[in-house]
This record gives sequence, structure tokens and C-alpha cells, in this order.
Amino acid sequence: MSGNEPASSKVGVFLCECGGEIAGPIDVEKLSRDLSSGRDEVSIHVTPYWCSLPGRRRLREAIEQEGLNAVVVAGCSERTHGAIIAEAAREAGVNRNRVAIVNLLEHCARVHPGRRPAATSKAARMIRMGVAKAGGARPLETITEDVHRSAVVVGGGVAGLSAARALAAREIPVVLVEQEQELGGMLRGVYLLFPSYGDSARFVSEMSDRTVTHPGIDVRTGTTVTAVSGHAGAYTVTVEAAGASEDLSGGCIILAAGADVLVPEGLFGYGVNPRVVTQYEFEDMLREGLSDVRRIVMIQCVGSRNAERPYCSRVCCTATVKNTITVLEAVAGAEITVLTRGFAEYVGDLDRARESGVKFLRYDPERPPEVADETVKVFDVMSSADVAIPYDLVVLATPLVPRAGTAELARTLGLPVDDHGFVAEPHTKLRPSAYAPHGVFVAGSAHWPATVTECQSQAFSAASRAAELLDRGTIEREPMIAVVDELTCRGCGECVEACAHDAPCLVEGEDGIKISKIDALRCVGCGVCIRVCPPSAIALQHFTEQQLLSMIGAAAGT
Amino acid sequence: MLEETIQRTKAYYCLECGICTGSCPVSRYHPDFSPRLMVERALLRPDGPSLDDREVWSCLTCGTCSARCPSLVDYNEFTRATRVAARAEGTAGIDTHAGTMIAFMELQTNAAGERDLSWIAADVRTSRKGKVLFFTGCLPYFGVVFRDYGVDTVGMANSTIRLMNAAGVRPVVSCGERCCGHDPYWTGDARTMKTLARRNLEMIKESGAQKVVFACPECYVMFKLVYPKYFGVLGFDVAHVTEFLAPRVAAGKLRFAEREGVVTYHDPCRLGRYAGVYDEPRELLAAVPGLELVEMPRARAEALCCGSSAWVSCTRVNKQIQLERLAEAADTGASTLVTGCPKCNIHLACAAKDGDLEKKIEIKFVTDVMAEALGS
Amino acid sequence: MAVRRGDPNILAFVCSWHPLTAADNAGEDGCRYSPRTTIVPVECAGRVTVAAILRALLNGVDGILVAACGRGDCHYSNGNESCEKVVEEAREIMRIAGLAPERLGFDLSSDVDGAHFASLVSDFAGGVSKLNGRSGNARAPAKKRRAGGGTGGKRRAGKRTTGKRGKAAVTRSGAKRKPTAKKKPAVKRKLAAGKKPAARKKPAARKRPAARKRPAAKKRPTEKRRVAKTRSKSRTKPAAKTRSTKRASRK
Repeated sequence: MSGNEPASSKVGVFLCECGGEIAGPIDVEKLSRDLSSGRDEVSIHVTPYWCSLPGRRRLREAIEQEGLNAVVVAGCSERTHGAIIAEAAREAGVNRNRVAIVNLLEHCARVHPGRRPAATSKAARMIRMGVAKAGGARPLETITEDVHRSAVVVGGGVAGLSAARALAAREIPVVLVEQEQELGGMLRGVYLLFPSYGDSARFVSEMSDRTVTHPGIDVRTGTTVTAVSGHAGAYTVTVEAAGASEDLSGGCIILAAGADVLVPEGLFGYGVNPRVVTQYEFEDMLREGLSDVRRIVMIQCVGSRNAERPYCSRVCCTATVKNTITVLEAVAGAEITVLTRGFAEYVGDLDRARESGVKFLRYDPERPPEVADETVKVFDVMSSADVAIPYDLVVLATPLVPRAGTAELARTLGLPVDDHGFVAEPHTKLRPSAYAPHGVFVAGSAHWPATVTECQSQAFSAASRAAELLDRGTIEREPMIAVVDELTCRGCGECVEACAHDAPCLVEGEDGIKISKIDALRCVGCGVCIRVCPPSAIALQHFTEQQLLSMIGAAAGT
Repeated sequence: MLEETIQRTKAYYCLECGICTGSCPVSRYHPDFSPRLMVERALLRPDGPSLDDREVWSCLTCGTCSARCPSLVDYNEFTRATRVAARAEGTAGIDTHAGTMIAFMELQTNAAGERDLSWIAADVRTSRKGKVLFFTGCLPYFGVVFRDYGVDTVGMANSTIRLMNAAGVRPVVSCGERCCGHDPYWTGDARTMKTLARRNLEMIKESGAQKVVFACPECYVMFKLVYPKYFGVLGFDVAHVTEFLAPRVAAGKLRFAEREGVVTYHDPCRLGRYAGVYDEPRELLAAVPGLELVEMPRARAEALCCGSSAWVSCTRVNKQIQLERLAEAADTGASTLVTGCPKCNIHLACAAKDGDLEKKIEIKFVTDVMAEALGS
Repeated sequence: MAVRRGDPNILAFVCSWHPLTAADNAGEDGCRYSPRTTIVPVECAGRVTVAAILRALLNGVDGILVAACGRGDCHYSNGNESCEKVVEEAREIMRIAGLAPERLGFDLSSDVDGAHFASLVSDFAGGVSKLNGRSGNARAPAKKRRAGGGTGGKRRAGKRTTGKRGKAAVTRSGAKRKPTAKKKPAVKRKLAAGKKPAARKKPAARKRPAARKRPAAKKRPTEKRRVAKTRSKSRTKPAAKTRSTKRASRK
């Protein structure tokens, strides 16, 4: 039904001159004359700066004196000034949802200099659009729900362990789920760590021991996640161990499922030539001690930075250089040649390796090295010459690839997945470590190939964000969500299909027809369900179709 | 204004017998709604009916109640007039499909240009000038929206022309055609209907056609019953495609190949109760050798509505009506439910799509069935 | 109304994430585009419906542009892809109705550079004014045209002029922007790197620090210093010069 608007809207328009920034390119006098005459039943107020302290005081006074119940501030960007304006309006009793900010400055004044009459008429259309939006909006209250103060950490590698321990340190109960029988993840296969050259096995065992013995952490190894339901503050994670299924509850989820090392079947003789191994397998050989290996050729970017996997795996170059140094210290007279395509990332200890006699040759991906029986043949780009390097062992640096099932798990959690299958961070720069489902955080290589240090810092970041949520006790959510008109819903399930966040689910109605229920805390308010609902039973309560259509009418100038 | 409506629709004559409520498919699933209640509210409330009542939009305008009313109250017209009044008050029903339908219909009042005709299949013959014009209606538009519903409305338009071709007629199909205005009209927007109608009448006049043939019964009744009310005598004949074809089939102009199967026929409200066309579709189906036609318990004037009308307020109540009709059709033992209206086809297919029906039944438009059977 | 003849009336549905940031930056960077282009901000492009697009056409706009975030960058996962389907459906309906589908523009981009937005709307407006220049909108292929088309075509032909002005609308901001930036480097809140096309993909977080909360935050660093200047300038030479001056928003 369209009858969403309050019985009578009293809209106040607060025109900001922004010093002369708006009042220059736009004829504010004419604008307020146009808006206060005729069909627009609004009251107009003009001041140099509504965002200033006196400006906001005047705003509050005007609201109270005139009994306004909707406010349009025509000034600058909502993202910079929306909150303070809304707060001022709220203090005077106007609901947040009935405040509209119109960006006259950046969407009109500054982009149309020297076109005053046209800019002024556009400003009027923009303001009428704001009036349509604010005046047509329903007052809405914040949604509040209790938070289950506990967390489920998926993955027992360095990221998962770090996150679990960071949460436990804040006395938040944690369940850690690891699909392998042992904790430690990928580090279990690494010999020495960079930059400390410390023993990885010791690091892992110390870390695992401290985690397993921690009273606040419930460690479940040999356990896989099969389903996730619920929302921020109250998730249910269904896990399976030894054929038995169990539901774990947690207020938030930290996804630290890690990644796999690419097995380069068929590349550079791998799998056929026993003297060709991956850098990850080489770690094991280093631990056991090299015998009969003196001449080593290492090839970088094997199976990455190509058409199939265009990304740089970031951690391999550092691992390679670390291993050259490890070899040089263990094997007297070792000769190591590293064939690279140039270093795309920071490579620790590169200079030390160079000084220690490791040779770095650059190869052209168009003319890749060829591993023959006795030598590796390569065209050295720097010297423009073909070189044949005799070897005892060839070590291939292969990239980290997303683990099978991670993408699926991410989708279940409503997380975006990038083209490669890693969990994508929607706003690496704008909002780091924030994801659209409010209670899910990601750390480690599930997100992108990460070093140990990066895994740890991402884990701490995720843990602190999670703790922030869990310690609040209740979760508050702005009421920007989709709602179902239950009398109209036909229970067809189109919304369930369309939603990336599993917000709607179908339940049996009393009349035998299914009905869609939207979980307010899972819903992100994007509105993709509106388009697919055949009977138009779904509406965004904070921004209805009527509001949008009347805005369009105002914007088109009709 | 409503005073006048009450007079015009003879609402004053209501005997409060309750036959309308008993006949109403909506009332069966939705006790808050009843035709009599709507009228009573209008009669008893000093300030007229409450126009923001969502039940204003619940009526299917299927005409079952009016057909049975002993006092001959015109409930459909009453509903329509109430909607006009409601619209004037600024309230509206819930337009289905996020308002797409009504939007593209209104778009054709002024914004649209010459209609694209590239949907016409390569084997289908049409003419620039001629005595017979085929009025396509919204079929090409529905093709865009209902692609995922297993309903091919463009195919329906093509099969209609194909049958006309087989009868030796190459109809005019005009790019000047507009929506007939049925849905705006029945949702209380007579202004849009009139704008569209004027354009259509002008287009037909220019084409010189003397007979206009429709696949959609809604377009058909608009031309047959509503346009003359607003524009007087139209100056050309109108016919539903089944009416157009039936005498030609009888005359042996079209021949059909043998088809095995049992079908049942669903009478659309517009074609049946409104236009009184009951026999022609049945005659067509009977002309296909081997095809057996079985009747549902509620057929002809007693037929149950497909459950939705005018792309407004198509709720879970409507779905229950649709499921009831589908079950009734399946119970006849027929494998195919043949409709005389593309929109009935869409509405029933929509309910069948997710309805968890016990017995599945195929839903087909009458010209699709006939065109498939065309043969030597 | 002093609207320049030929500037098409464009309505732009702009997603509040990357594209609206670009639109804000267009103002910040002193880019220019036609004042006949009006932005309708939407939380997510996925919110735009076919009906909204068709209603805009019904309201007489010449073109509609929908700006969504780049693939994989939707804050809500699939809003941009959902929007793509809406656009396809709307274009098909427009085509059937005899309206050039080119009147509906669609951009999937996470480029938050102001110049990107300005050239996006200007290029689109240019395309639309070319359509306006044509006689009528009819797109029915001539071969298929049937009789009785008298009512189609000539849609508000009087209002249309040739695409002459369209070129002027495509004021690439680049040329104008540079000197502006040079004169008052403090105006630019964005990092210099943001200007390089290579670094465009995800330039510095100029704005939008938090999702829904949109805190007042980000007081501009140069605020106080500039207040007096802005004022005096704005009084004397409003239009031309204030644009390059730092806007003074005080608390």
C-alpha cells in the first residue's frame, strides 16, 4: 500500500550557502523564492553554514518553532555531514529517516560554474527530490538485538590460532574448528620462518599447545563446517566431525580457512622428473637435511601471473630467498640460481642472498625456462643470451590458491568472492576488514596470500573488530532493511534465490502457502529482492518505491 | 461521485442475500473481502467507503457475482469506480512485478515511439494494408518479463498469425499500436486508457482495417465493450481469434493433423462472462482429430477465474485461487489446460511454477495448441 | 529557463558507493558537466527497478544513466549484477516500445575519480543528444515496419534540436582541472596518486570512512585558515573564483 507517508508532512528546507561556494554559482535568493511560492509546501531557511554550531542551533530552533517533521538540508555530501545534521534534527525530534541531505555543492554548484540560471533550476529539482524523499519517508526506529558473547573461528592455521587467542585474551569464549587432525595449517610444512629464521615446527607446537590448553578455547580438529545460519550476534554454525553433526553458536564468525599450495602438475617436468620439487616440498627436504644436492635452480611464478592465475601470490619470493640463505648456511659450496620474472612484492633478505652469491636471472614468460635432463635452459633477459645451468635439484615456487570449499563457505556467509576464488574485501581502502554481514570477519590467506606476520595482524584486526561487536552486549542496526508484506507474499521463493545474504527464508503459513520471513539482522537493505518479487510484497522500509518514483518525478522536473 | 456510481451500478438494489459472497473466489480464501461488504460499506458509511482499504484492490473483477446477482448489481463497475475514487485520493493498490507492467503500459501514452515488430517470426505473413488487422496487445512486452515462467507470449502472437495465414489471411500488424488500456482502466486510471484508446483508434483508422482480431480477450473486450462507451461506434468489427477462426474451420479452410491427448478448456472471465464467447474455442479444439476435450466442473459462465487481474494486488489469496483452479483442471484427467487468454496462461503458470502441486498439468494458450496441430 | 538548447535532460541513478564518491569528487575536483544532468542517489544500484527507469522516461527525460560499482566491488555482493539484469530488461522493453535502448546508459565501474564521472555523464549526454537530433525515436527496422505508424515517431520533436550542443556538454574536465589544482593544491583532499590512471582502481579513501554511519568525521584540514579568504572572495567574485577556493565548513 502506498499509505506510508505520515498524515501530514511538514518539511523544512534548509538551504546552505556554504559561504559563497553554493551561493555563488547558484542564485540562492531565486531558489528560495521559487521553492516558497506555489506548489512546494515547504518552509525555506537560508544560512551560510548549517553544519556550524550556530547553524545547527538555528536548525533545531526552526524545527521546534514550526513543528517540522521532515528536514531537507541542501548543502554538501551526506557522507561528510549527514551524521551531524541528522543528530541535530534528532535532538529536535525529527526521525533520522525523515532527514534528507541534498548535495548542492558537489553535484551542482561546483560542476556548473558560470551557468547560474541552469544550475539554479537544477538545484530546485534536486531540493524537490529531497523533499519527496524526506516527506515520503516513514519514521523508523533502530533495530536492537542481544549478542551471544562468543565466537566461532573457522581454521586452525596461524591466522585462526592468533584470532582465537586474541579473543580468548579478552575472555570471549571461542570454538576453533579445524578440518585437519592437527593445528598449524600451512606452517606445519614450513622449515624456517622469515624474518626470524626460527623453527616453524616449534612455533606451531607452542602456539597449538597454548591454544589447546587455553580454558576459553574449545578446539575441534577433524571438523568441517557444513552450514551457517543466523545473523550477527547469533550465528549457528553446523559442523560435522566423524560423521556426527553438531550446532555451534557464536555471536560472530572469523573465517581463517587458509589456502592451498598449487601442485604444478606437468609444469617444468614436475611429477615426471624426480629432481623437480615445489618450494613447499623443498621446506621438508631442508628440515631433513640436503644430501647430494649442491646445485639448485629455483624458478619463480610457476603457475601464477599467467592468464589462468593473473595474480601475484606475494609470499613465494620471500620464501625462496629465505630458503636460498638456509641452503647456503647448511650446504658448503652450494650454487643457487633463481630464475625470476622480476619481483612484484617486497622481498626480504634479497640483498643478503645476492651478497652470499645467489644468482638471480630474469626470464621472459614468453620464453620460459626449460628443464632438461642435466641443465635448466633459459634465455636470460638481462644479458640477452641463452644460458644452460646444470642442476641437482629444481625448485618451483608455486602460488597459493584458494582452498576448495572456501568460496562456497564464503557465499554461505554472504561474503563476496573474487575472480580467483579468494574471499574479497569489499573496500580494502575505504573500510578495511569490514564486510557486509556485520558479524563475519576474515583473516589470513583465505582472503589473499599472506605472510605469517600479515596473518597475525589480520587475525588481531579481525579479533578486535569482533570483540568490539561482542562486548557491546546488544547489536544495533539502522532500520535500513527490506520488509515483507505478509498478506501479499506468495511464498514463491524468488527473494531467497536473489538474496546474497540469506536474509529471507520460507516458512509455512497458516493457510498452507509458504511465506517469506526476512531476518532483520542479515538483511543489508540493498533491495535486489524488490525487483524479483512477483507480487511486489517486499519493500525497503527506509526507501520505498513511492519515494523513489516521486523523486524521479521531481528530478525530471514534472 | 460515488453516489452516482451507486446509482449506476444498481448497488441500491442489494437484497443482502449473500449470493455474491458465496460466488466470490476471493471471499473463499479471504473472509475480510466480500462484494456485498464493499457495497454495504459504501452505502452505510456517511462519508462513503474507506478508499485506503486494501480490499478495494482485492476484487478480481471476474464478474461471477454480477452474473449471479438476483438484483443485477454491477459489482465490477462498482469496483472500478471505487478505484477511480481511491486513485483521486492518492491511494493505489500494490502493482505486481515492481510496477513494471503498469509502467510500460503508461509509457505507451506519450513517451513510446513506433513499436518494434522484429518479434514477428520469419515464416509468418503480415501485410502493410488490408482489411484484417491483428491487435497484438502486450504480448511482446510480456515476453520480456515472463521469459523465466515458461510462458512464451511472443510465440502466442506468432501462432495466432500463423493460424490466420492458414485461413488465407495476412493480417496487418501495426507499429503504431499501443496498449489497449485494459489494466489502467480496471485499476481506476481511465485517463491513461483514453489516451491509449485514442491512439489505437487513430492507428486502425489509418490502416483502413475493417476487422480487428485479438489474441488477448482483455484487449478484445476493451474494444468491444469499453471503447464504444467513450468513443461511440468504432466503425470496424472486432473478434477474438477463436471467433475469427471457428467459422473458417467449420468451412474447412483449416485442416488439422491428428493429435493424441486429453485437454480441458479454461474460460477466461473477459472472453466468457464479459464477451459471451464460450463455444468457439471449444469448436476449435474439437476440430483437431484425436484431441479429447473434457470439461471442468466449473466451466463456461460458472468458470473459476485464473485468480489475478490488471497486475494489481496478486497476493497469497490469489495464489490459492490459482492452485484451486489448477487442481480442478488436473482432476479432469486432462494433460493440458488450454486457456483462451494469454494472461490466464501467465497467472496459472506463475502459481504452478512454485505451487508444489500434487498433479502437474501443462498450461497452453489456445492458438499454440491449434497452430501445433496445423497440418495436411 | 536559461537551459541551453540541445542539452538533453538526463537522469542519473547513482549508487551511493563508488559511483557517488566519483560524483562527489567531480565537484571536489572542479569537473564540469551539463546542468541538465540530475543525480538521483540510490543506496545500491540493485535498488533501481525497471518501473523506475520507465517512469523516468514517462516523465519526459531524454536519457537515463545507471551507475553501479565495478564487478566484484558491490558492497552488497550482487547489487550491481542484479542491476545489470534490470537494465537489460528495461532496454528490451524500450526497444519494443520504439525507444532507442541507447537512451539507457549503464556503467559498472569502481573508478572514484571525479573526471571519470564527469566524462561518463558527458559522453552519455552526447550520445543522447545525437539521438535527439534524429527525427523521432523509432527504431523499428524499416523492413519490418507495418502500416499505421502514424502515431509513432516525432516524440516532442519541437523540444529536440540537433546534437550540436552535445559536444559542448562533453567538457572534459582534465584541462580545467589541472590549473585549479595547481593554484590551490590544498583543495585536493585526494592523494596525488589518485590522478594517475594506473592508480585509479582503488584510489585513496577520500571519503566515506564508514558504511552506514557516515560519521561527520573528516573535518577538512584547512578549514579555519581558509574561512576569511573564502568569505571575502565569495562576496566579490562569486562564480568564477570561489570554485577554486577551499570551501569553509566550520563547526
